[in-house]
Amino acid sequence: MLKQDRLSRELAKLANTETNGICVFPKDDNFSVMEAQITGPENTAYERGVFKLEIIIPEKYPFTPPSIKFLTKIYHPNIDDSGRICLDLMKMPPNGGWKPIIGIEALLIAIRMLLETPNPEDPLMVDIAEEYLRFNDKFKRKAREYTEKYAK
Amino acid sequence: MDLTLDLILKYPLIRSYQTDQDTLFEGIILLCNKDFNISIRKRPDCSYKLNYLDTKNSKILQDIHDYLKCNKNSTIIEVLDKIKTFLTLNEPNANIIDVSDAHLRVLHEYSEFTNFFLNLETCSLSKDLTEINVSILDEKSRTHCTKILVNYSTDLAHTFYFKSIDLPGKDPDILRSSDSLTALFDGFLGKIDLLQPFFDIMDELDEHCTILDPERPVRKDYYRRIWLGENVSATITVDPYNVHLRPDVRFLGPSRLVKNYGIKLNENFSKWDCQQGFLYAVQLLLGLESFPKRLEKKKSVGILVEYGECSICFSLRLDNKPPDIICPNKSCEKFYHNRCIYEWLVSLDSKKVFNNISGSCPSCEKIISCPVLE
Repeated sequence: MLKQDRLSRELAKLANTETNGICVFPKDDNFSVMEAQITGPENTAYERGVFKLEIIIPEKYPFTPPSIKFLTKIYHPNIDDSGRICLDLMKMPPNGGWKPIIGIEALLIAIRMLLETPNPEDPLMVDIAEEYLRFNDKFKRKAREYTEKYAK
Repeated sequence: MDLTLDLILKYPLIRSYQTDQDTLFEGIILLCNKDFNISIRKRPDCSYKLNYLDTKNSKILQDIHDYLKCNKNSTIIEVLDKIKTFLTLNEPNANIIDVSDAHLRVLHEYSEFTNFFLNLETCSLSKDLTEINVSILDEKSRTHCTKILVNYSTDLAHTFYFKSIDLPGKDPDILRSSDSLTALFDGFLGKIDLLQPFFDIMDELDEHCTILDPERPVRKDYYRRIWLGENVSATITVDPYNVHLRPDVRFLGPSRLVKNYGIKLNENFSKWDCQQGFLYAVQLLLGLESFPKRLEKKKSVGILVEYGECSICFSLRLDNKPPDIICPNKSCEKFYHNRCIYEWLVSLDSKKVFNNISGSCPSCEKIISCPVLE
């Protein structure tokens, strides 16, 4: 009950506000799976792309964090081929920074910020991180190619 | 001709058809509440053959065949009667209670009831005769609704019973079931009369205070959480049958704010006197000049957690209780339900000392503690 009530509250809020570039909708009645879309931030290689994400809400939400992954292919140092995202906020303490006061919206904002500023110090894709640091132009070109190809 | 008429009277759902030489009887036999499709052929030599009967019970079918074999020249009515007997004896759920008498009795009770009470506001009996909804107006024109159910499968003394009773107290001390609808309802009315002073003061509180809890008070609620100021509220619990007694008062809010209210309450504790009205007495008890009114809440768009709501489940009520743990850090003062913050602290393996668990507040990360729950 707690999970459902809280999620319906979160969704109602998301529906009422124009959170920049974020949109979430449930895929089933009990809010176990949701789909989100975020737009690529302006002035980045992901600009004008629309990225689909899948949010899986655990039974113990909000005491355990949801898991979120990209369904759209994306070229990014912190996101791997299968769409997994390396984000501290989505891991339980003491290793991660999840807290029950964080909601779906905050996580999606954080993910969108990760697109804006990748974190190559803690990469999931070592090659891409290397490229991002050393040959940034090449990285940008490839990321833009992926965006054109998959995120339209 | 006579036989056809008898058949229609006794088995109205069976039709006979003339074929070349045979007569076909087809239709439905009603038995208690169950229908049985049947088809029987009567041959020119006056013997019968069962074509179809929708039962899976092979014993019944065998019995019927045996019977038909050795009973030529019976009338169709005799045959059907016999089949009915076999069905009654062998169908597993043939022991269905015949409720037509009970229905009559309920209808009789109901009409007696509607004639007896003249102050009923609305009154209705559901089509299946199992549910009666009644509402009445009391002397102050307050509406009281109740739902009475009819149970056909128990002994007479408990035929009519209350589904739920909107009267204060966990288990209101009234007749809960009876064989007489009138007597049952009379008990309910008696309590309403007795509780008039209680309803009066609750109405008064609702009118003059900003009520935070219950969200939509109903007649059975004998407490009100009233708004005293930003972050502070008081829960006032009234004894429904002794309304002149001093009510129980509990404050909710950060301790630095609640402290002053507590001191005032202690000073006025022994001065309780409700000669000049309950509301005024509560006002004096709390040391208030008047009951503060909270301005209409702005339409909250974009705020995830409103004031007073739990920062974990994002709602005011969990198990119908408002959040009762407040972060002691002055610049945080977030609200949590005991169950929510406890579950979070446990999932972090926080330290338990005696009956308390402490760990860091999910919001400000300073130390917060709460009682351990089972």
